[in-house]
Amino acid sequence: MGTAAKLTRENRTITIDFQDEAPYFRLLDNGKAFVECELAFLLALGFQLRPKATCRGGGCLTRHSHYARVRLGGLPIWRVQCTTCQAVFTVLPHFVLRHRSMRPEVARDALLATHGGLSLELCAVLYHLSPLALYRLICALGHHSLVTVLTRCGRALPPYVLADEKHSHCLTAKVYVPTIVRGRVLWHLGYTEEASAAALPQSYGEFQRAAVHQEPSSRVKGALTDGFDSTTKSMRTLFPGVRLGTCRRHALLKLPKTLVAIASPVRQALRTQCHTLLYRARPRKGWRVFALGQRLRRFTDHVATTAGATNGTRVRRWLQEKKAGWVCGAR
Amino acid sequence: MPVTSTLLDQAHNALDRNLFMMKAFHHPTGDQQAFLQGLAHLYNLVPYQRRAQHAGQCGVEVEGGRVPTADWFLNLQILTSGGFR
Repeated sequence: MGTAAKLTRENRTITIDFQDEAPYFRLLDNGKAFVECELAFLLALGFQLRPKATCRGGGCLTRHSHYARVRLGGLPIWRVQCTTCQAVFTVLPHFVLRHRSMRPEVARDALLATHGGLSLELCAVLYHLSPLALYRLICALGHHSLVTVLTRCGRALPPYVLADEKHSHCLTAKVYVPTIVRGRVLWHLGYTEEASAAALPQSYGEFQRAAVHQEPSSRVKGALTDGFDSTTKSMRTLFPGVRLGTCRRHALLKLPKTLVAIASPVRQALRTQCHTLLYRARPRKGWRVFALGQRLRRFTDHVATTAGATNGTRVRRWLQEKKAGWVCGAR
Repeated sequence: MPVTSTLLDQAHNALDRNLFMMKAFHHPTGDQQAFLQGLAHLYNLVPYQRRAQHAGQCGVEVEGGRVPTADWFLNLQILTSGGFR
C-alpha cells in the first residue's frame, strides 16, 4: 500500500463567527437560515470562497452533508457545496479549531503566552494542555503561507523589502532563519541549515514563488541587506534588476573599522555624529526636507579635518559603496 | 543604540526569544519551517502595544492592512482558513 500516489485533499475549511454557541445550535435546524448567515458573514468580511479551478462562477451554496465531532461531544459540523463546481466547504463555527479538540479560549491564551516568550512547557502547565499539542497548533498555523494571509488582509506585495538572516541553534546544530520584512510585517521566515549561496536563494525563493503565484505582475524593486554575500546574491538571482542597498544600521556598525590610526575617543565621536545624522534622516511622521547627500559630504569633510585626509577618503569611499538604497525610505 | 534598531532586528529579537525559551529549538525531526511560520503569523497578527500610538493594533494594521474582526484569535482562525480566497 504505497501512499505516494495518494492525492491530498484541498483544505476548504471556512471559519464562521456565530457570536455564540447558542445561535449556531439554533441555526442547525434551519438550513436556509444557516446558509444565509454564512453568506452574510462572507459579505461582511469581503472574502470569497475558493472554488475549484474549473468553476465558472454564478452558482450558489447549498447544505451538503454533516458529521459529528465525537471529541467535542458529538458537535454537528455542516458542509456546504457550490452548486456550479461541486466544491464542498466545511463550515467550522468560531468555537471549534480544525482537527483539534482544544477550546479556542485555551488556545488563544496559550498562544499569547508563547508569543510573549513563555516556553511551551510552562504554557502547557498554565493552560492544562500538552506541550506537543501547543507545538502542533503553531505548526498547523504555519502551514499557511504568510503571503496568502497578508494579501487577504489587503496588504499589497511589498516593492521594497529588508532581507536578513538570523542564526540560531537546533539542538547542537547551527541553523539560519532567512527573513524578509517590510515595516512591522514579516513577509517571509524560512529555515536553512547553512547560509551558503545555494541554500539562501532556495529559502528566499519561497517568498518569490508565493508572491508570483498571488500576483504575477508583482516585482521587488529594492532590497536592503546587511551586505552578506549570500543574501545579496540571492536577491540578485531571485529578483533580477533589483536595487540593492546596505541597511544603515549594519553600515554604521562597520564605520569604526574604516577609521584607522586615530584615538578611540575621536573614532567614537565621529561614529556618534554619523549615527545622529542617519537617525535624523529616517522617515518620520510629517516629512521634512533633509538633504542626506549634502550632510554626508559635510560629514566626510569633517572626518578629513578631524582624523586626517586618508581617513576622510576612506570614509568617502565607504559611503559611496554603502549608500545605495538609503533614499528609498526603507530603514 | 535603540533608535537605529531596525524593525527587522526587532522581529529577529522577538523570534530569538521564542527560540531561546524552547531550549535549543526543538525536536530535530520536527517541522521547523512550519513552526517558524506559525510564530511569524503570531508576530504579524497579535496586537503588540497597549498604550502607545498603535495601541491594540497588530503589525498588519499598523502597516495599513485590514483585519476581519477586532479579535486577533478569530482573525487568525479566519485568515488561516483554507476555504477563503
